[in-house]
Amino acid sequence: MTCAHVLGLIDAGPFAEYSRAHLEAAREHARGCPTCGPALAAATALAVDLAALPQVPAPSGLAAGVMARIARTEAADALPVRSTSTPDWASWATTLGGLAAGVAAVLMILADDRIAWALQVVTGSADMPLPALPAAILSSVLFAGLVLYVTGLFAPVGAKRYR
Amino acid sequence: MSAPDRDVIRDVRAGNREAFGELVRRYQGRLFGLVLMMAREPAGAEEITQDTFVRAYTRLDHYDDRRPFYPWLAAIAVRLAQNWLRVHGRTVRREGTPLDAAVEPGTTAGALTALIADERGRQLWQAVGALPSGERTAVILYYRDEMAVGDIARALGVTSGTIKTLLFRARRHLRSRVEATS
Repeated sequence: MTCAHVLGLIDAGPFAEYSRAHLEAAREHARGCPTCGPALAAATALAVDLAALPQVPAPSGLAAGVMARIARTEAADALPVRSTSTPDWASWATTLGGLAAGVAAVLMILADDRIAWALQVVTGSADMPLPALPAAILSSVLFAGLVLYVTGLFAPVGAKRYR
Repeated sequence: MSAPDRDVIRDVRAGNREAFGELVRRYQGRLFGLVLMMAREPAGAEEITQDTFVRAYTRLDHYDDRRPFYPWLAAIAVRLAQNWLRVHGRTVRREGTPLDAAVEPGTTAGALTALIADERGRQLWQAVGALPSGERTAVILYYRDEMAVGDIARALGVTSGTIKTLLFRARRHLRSRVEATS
């Protein structure tokens, strides 16, 4: 090994990355070289010193603080949680209300004379497509459906979590 | 003789929460020193160290027990410290205290070196503390914590080549400082 090789190895380091053969060859060269000898010794000493950097004492109570936080986290996780999502009844209300309002609206439209005539023309049938229900009933169903739908839509989200 | 990390972790996973305390006591010193060198603020370092252990406990299922425990723990600590620095670093700079200031009384390194009884150890910590942030972290993880270059790269989210470069620069800086003081 030449000085260039050894000095390059010292600079490129860390020593742990090199093979034993490489390091031994570098040491062999350094033993008789006035330049590489001190350089390799200084680099080795630095690595040894850094490896021996003293431990900094952790603050007293740190471990106890960690375990207390873990205990609190686990205790909180163990508490029952009320759902924060929309209650089930609200989903049903929006579905049924929307369905009722939709059906009522369709029936009201079909009950209109002009629409009925147009359907007869299109289908070629002289019969009314659907039985005509009283407008009052259809209006009531439509209104009730809309109320149910809106109530379900704006149902209060579940209560606060116990935690 | 204390039980290997793997056995302790197996205990914790089996439901023995108190067993995790053994891991905390085992690594709190090393971790605190690393975080303190990154955060440069003792109270912040203590907070980050606690957060690291708590997060490690809650995510123990994600730990691969075929690998050493400390590098995994250190990776969590490094990420939390980097997040903390992103928030608090701006505050520190606004107040006129540069984050990478040289060692001065009252700063982290002053408080830190006061904790180290040995004179030579203090000088070494001061020298490491004066390094730029990335070099400082790489030196501690590689030399003091004996982590492999690959593990350090994963912890810091960089390539192995970057770590080698940081270590190369750090050695140059430290050698110059040692030569200057001697």
